[in-house]
Amino acid sequence: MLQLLTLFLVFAGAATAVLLLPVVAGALDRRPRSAPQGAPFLGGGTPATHAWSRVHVRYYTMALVFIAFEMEMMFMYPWAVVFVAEGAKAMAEMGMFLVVLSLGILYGWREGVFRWQ
Amino acid sequence: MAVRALGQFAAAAPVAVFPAVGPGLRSHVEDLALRAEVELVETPRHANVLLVAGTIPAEHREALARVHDQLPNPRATLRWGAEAGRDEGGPGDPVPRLVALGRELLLGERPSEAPLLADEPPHPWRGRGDHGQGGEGMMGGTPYGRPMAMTGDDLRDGLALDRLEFTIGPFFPHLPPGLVLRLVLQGDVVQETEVVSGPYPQPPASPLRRISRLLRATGAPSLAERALRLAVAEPEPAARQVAAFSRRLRQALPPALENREPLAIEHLPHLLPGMEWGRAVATLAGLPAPLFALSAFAPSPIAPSPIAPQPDSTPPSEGSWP
Repeated sequence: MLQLLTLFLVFAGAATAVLLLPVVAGALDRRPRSAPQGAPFLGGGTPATHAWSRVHVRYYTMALVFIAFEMEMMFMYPWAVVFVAEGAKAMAEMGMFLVVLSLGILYGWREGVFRWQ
Repeated sequence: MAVRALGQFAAAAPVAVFPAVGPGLRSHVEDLALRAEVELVETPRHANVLLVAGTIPAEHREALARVHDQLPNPRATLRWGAEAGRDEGGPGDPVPRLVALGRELLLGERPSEAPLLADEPPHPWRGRGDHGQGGEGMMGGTPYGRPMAMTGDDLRDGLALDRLEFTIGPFFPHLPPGLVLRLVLQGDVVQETEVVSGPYPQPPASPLRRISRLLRATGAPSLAERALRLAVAEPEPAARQVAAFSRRLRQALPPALENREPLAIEHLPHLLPGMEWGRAVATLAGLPAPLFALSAFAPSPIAPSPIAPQPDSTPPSEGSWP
């Protein structure tokens, strides 16, 4: 019961801080925000496109290859420990896992991940 | 009481100045960086005082007003050398007035300047669609009157990226004052360049001063200040100091920054596309011929000829661009 009360007090303190701090920050903040101040600084120039834009995740091919090989090794070490005890069942499970991962490797291969540039 | 003490404390610091440089006064403004009472800042957001140096042409008044309004309150403007730019005696010393302005602002003795532009969004909200984006799904549309960036093939490796279009200048730090460029960026790679208006005319600058500009643009402010101190030394810097600085430069700079052809404003639309943004700014920093100046300086540091001012109009060399 005491633990529950402590938990409730911590939660109440956290909630009060979360609700109160923006109010305090707003009260202390004297900056008038005008539309020109909200614009990006381009030395007097203006943007012609809206700020909603997408950024290409250029590292995605590296991330794909990393997950395909690294995750494989991460699960194969503990698997190797129990392989002798578990036998054919472990073999089949790891086989299925490797098939799924190798599909990712094949996809990356098709996309040219392994081509040296 | 505490606020008053904080104000006193802040007023004792160097006054943060954003310079909007007009024709003929670029070197004068750069020399302010050597004054301890003044801190030249890179954006109006960090400044208390806007220093308008020289007469800004009428077509750039709106850009100046935009920069003015981007200074946070309290703010003040100092117009400097508007008529005196071409006089024999130079434009005079703005530092005492800058310091006084900054002090009055921070102690609350002077009201902040009112904005010059209307306080309304440049393009009001005219959204339609599920999220007000006005287009189809997640693509296209013109939220707040500005079109969303659409994809195009990237120059670097052909990946389809969003094309961000904007104009930059005439008061962007590191770029020559007055230069207005319409740029298309994808990521940090310049795709298209169009010169909207060229740099303001400036008196010739010595190679050391141009090296200082280039160093400041590449993010080496202490080296830039050292080059500037050598550039303003009277009557001329000691050969020993120049040699030491030249050795330091060659340690610090990548070899790719040396031995480049002279640069003219007509080359920009062909030269900039494909460059990354930081390199483009470094290329533009000391227009004209910043890299030429550097290569002329580095191989023979003790020879007196690189210290002499060179004419600011370098003849364009046709067909020598990579």
